[in-house]
Amino acid sequence: MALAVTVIIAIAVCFLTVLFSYRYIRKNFDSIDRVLDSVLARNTDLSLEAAADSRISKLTHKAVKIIQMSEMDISKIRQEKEIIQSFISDMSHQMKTPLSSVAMYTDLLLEGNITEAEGQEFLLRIKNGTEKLQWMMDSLVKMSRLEVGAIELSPVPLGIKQTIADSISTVYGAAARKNIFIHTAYFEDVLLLHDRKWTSEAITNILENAIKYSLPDNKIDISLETLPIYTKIRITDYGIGIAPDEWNSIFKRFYRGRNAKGVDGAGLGLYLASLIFEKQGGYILVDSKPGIYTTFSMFLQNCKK
Amino acid sequence: MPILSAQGLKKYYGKEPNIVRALDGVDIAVESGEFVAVVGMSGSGKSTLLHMLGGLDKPTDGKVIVDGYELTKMSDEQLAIFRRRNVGFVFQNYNLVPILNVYENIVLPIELDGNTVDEIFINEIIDMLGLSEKRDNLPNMLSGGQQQRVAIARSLAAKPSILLADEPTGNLDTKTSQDVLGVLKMTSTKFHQTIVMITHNEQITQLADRVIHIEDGKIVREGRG
Amino acid sequence: MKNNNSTVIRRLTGRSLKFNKKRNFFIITAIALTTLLIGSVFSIGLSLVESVKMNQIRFAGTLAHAAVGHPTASQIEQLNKLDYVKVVGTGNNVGFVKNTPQMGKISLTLHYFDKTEWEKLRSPAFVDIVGNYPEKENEIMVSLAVLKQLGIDTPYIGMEIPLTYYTDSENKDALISESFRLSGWFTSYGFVQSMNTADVILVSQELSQKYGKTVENDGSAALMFDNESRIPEYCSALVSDLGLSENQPVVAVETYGTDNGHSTATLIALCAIAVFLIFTGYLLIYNILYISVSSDVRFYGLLKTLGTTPKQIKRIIVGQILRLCLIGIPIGMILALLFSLKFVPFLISELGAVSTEAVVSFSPFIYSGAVVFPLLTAILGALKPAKKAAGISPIEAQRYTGVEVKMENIRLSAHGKPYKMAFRNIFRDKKRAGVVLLSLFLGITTFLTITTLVFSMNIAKYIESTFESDFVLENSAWPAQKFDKAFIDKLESLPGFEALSLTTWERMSLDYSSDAFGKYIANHPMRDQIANLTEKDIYKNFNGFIAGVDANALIKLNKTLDKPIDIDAFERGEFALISTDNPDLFSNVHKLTVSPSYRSENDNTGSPKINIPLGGFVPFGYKGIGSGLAPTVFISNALMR
Repeated sequence: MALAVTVIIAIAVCFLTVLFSYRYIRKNFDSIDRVLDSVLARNTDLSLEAAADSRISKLTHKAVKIIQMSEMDISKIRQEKEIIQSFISDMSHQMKTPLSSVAMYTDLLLEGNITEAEGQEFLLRIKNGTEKLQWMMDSLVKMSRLEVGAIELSPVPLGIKQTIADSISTVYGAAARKNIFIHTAYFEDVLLLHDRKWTSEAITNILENAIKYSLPDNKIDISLETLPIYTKIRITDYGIGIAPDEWNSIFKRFYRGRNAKGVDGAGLGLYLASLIFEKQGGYILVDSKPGIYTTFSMFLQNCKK
Repeated sequence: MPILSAQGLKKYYGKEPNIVRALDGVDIAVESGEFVAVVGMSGSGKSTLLHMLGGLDKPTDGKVIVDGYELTKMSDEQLAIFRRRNVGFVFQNYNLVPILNVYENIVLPIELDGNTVDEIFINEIIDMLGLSEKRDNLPNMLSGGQQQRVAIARSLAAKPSILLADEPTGNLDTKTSQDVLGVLKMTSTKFHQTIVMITHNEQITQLADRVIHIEDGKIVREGRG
Repeated sequence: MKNNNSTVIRRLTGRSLKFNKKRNFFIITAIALTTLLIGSVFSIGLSLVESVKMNQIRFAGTLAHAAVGHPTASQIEQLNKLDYVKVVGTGNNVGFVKNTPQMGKISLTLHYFDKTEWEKLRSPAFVDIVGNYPEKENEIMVSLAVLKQLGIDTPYIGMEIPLTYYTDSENKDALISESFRLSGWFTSYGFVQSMNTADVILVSQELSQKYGKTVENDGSAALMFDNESRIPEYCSALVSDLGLSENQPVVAVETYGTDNGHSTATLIALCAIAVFLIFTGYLLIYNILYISVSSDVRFYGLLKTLGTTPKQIKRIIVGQILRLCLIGIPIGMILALLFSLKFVPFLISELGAVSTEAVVSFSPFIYSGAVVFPLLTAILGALKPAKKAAGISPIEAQRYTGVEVKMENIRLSAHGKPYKMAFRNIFRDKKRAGVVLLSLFLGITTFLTITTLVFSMNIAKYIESTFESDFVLENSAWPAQKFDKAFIDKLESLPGFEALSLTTWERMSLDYSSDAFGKYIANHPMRDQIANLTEKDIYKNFNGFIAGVDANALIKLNKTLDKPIDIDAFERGEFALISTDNPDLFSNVHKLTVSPSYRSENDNTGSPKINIPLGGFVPFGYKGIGSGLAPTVFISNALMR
């Protein structure tokens, strides 16, 4: 008798357990189904229950993340497209001036009724214009490739001393012409993660700027400082300087400083430099007192021991 | 669609006539992957703004939407869960959990949500931030810069939608600041992390894509420079 | 489905513990103390209950609830089948011992108990049992008191004890002398035995069978029911269930409690103490945790900032308490156990609840209670701090420095006096100050209570509360020695003399009528022995003692009585008192007819009879005067003369 009752109760308990487990599992599967449906529909509208301390809420959260990831990828592609488009328009805009002057002087030469001296002058101007166009073309191609990721920088542990020396030798002639002395404070060579070719180009750009905006018979200081994560390369000139409100803008493409009006330039050097450093996990900061000094601090990652 | 947006955000303390308007109608929108710096003097309401954006405080009026969640409608419990999944915080005073070691601090937001730790990703961050040797140390064994790097690692660990930094270099000397800042910049670039950073230091805003100037609880200037 | 994030909560719980060693120590101490105190109180309480119960059982000399006289074999079989009868033991009289002069007036019977009766009902009521129940014909088992009466101080198994006895109550001269071997002995508190008026000598089944004694003719069946509270109901049910005849009385065992509500009051007091202890423990744990949480506001705020939900924070705090309980409760439990073993017997006799040896209870209730209550206390104590921690706002935590001081009521003087500053600091947070002061107060109260208890346990006080006098002088050499005026004066002039109270006593007979004393006889402690007495026998032998006491002795007694005695009237000899613990048995007695000194065989004593109304009751055994068949009667000394 008692045994029979026990058996019946046991069966009933088992039955109920199975029933409730089944319903519970079904409910959870339904929830997962709904979440996946909204992923397929790219629907990120969340109910507030999504922020709960439960597995289903976590699942929902992750589903939303997946949707966001795919959307981000799409928007990234769109952004790159926009960058190329704006490049093309910027390029056409920037090339207009030298191109039109080249066209004008070519026309004047073709008309023929000019003096020998004038002809010589026009030819020089045309050469100047084409050279500028050539340089601009080079820079723009580099930039566009860098920006859209067509060129991958390959930062490897290399001694920075050689890189800096490469840059200095590139600008040495220009500096000598203005009688500007480039002074490098002594430093121990350190291995930094960088791509020597591109980094050297970036440093060259900074040095060229420093020479460009310095008065003749001046000097440029280069120093190195190692921090726990980064090593800082400081290049200081004692030229015209940059006002603080311009600090954020000078690294923008085609930006020309207010004090740079009389100086040749396309507004590409600093932009390219900051792009190069950013691509290597580094960055550039500027500090300046107009008329006194300008310091560019370039940061490159130390090699991990 | 912006990942973070605030509309007509107001936060008042006290009552008339001694009312303090910490925030007085702020509208901002931050796009995914953007690095926004909020600049203002102390008492300008910039910290209050950050607290609202991170769901740490409730506004008097207006709404905050982060990643589709309308924070102003959520309970304490829901906000806590929201924070661990969607927000990474970096504070001026590091705010590491003193009883957990470096590794445990970094993975805390992940573990609070019961997720499996992506060891490869975490090791990458730890390595990148130069914390490999300090993995098992307690926070009080670390320097300020190291602590802040741990905080940054922690804020990134759960791959949050946004990273909110409140004067991250406020307690650090210039050199360490530059280090920490570089780390912040580098990681944001690398992981395409959206960052809103509060600072009163004009120099470090150079790294931001956009700078928002705030004064007396209102946005006075926006954009680069 | 709940989230699978308990690992990190466990880690935070464990780590919090690791980094708060000092606080842990205090909490563990608090938990252990609470456990110890609650465990001790429970132990005292339950030991008291068990001791009182055991005391009753020992006084009754049996665990049985009732007995059926002269049951037939079939009735015994029926008894075994009844649902509400748990144990059926039988026993029968085998013979009566003929007293030697040395043995005095004690009436000894030879009695046989069957195995069930002895093992289940009798032996638990005896203490210090040595040896075994008699198995062979010539074996006996005797209580130590009887052995003493027989002149044996150092018994040993197998020693020879000669006894002379008769087996037929009708034929008292058919004496049998036999030498028995002692198979065992025990101490009995059995009421009758301890009064040295009657006792049994236990004999074997063989001996019982030898004389053809049966349960039906010479014995009774002792019964234990399944429910103690329904004894009267079961007793009447037995009559119909067994078809009992007139001479087969069902008698409920009277519990000779010395209890009279004393232990109930003690139990209520202990419950109150337990509640008080729980509250104190709660406050203590609450306070420590609250202060700990307050100093960790930044920590909990930070956890919340990083996405720890309020629920998880509560789990961290309650989890810590639970883990501390895991250490604290066992410690407290061991201490409580040691306490039970060392002090509980002493405390129980101190409480005066029992007169036999106290029993230490190891009931699982004590230990489950000592686990459950401190656990509840600890969890309760943790809940509010946990709630506080869970409710901490992340922002407030960032700038938390403590409680903001309200400066309104403070008049700042130019030169702040240090004591004023100290005072202000104490009450900076009024609520916390209140809780701390209350805890201190309760702590001191607990301390004082315990100290008082411990110090009140001094021997002088113990003796004073247990014994009425330091010396008792007894006149056994009358008439050579007289307590006359001169002698008493001499006593009173002795150095250190404080007070004197005279008690005189005399043998007497009471006039018996079944109307008045029927109830008393039916419940007489010696009913096993007197069950087969006829009304006439009782009338003849209704002897006892009459005693005279001083009125001032009664003043002291009056304080402990429910119904105080009118002392003046008593002194004038207007009424007499009966010594009993069960006044209900005398509800039909209004007047006592006393004949001082025993009546003779033919009931024509020369002494005059005294008629005196019954005016009240004193506890059984008052002034150490035992009873005979008749109850002891007290009158004033004046009347006695």
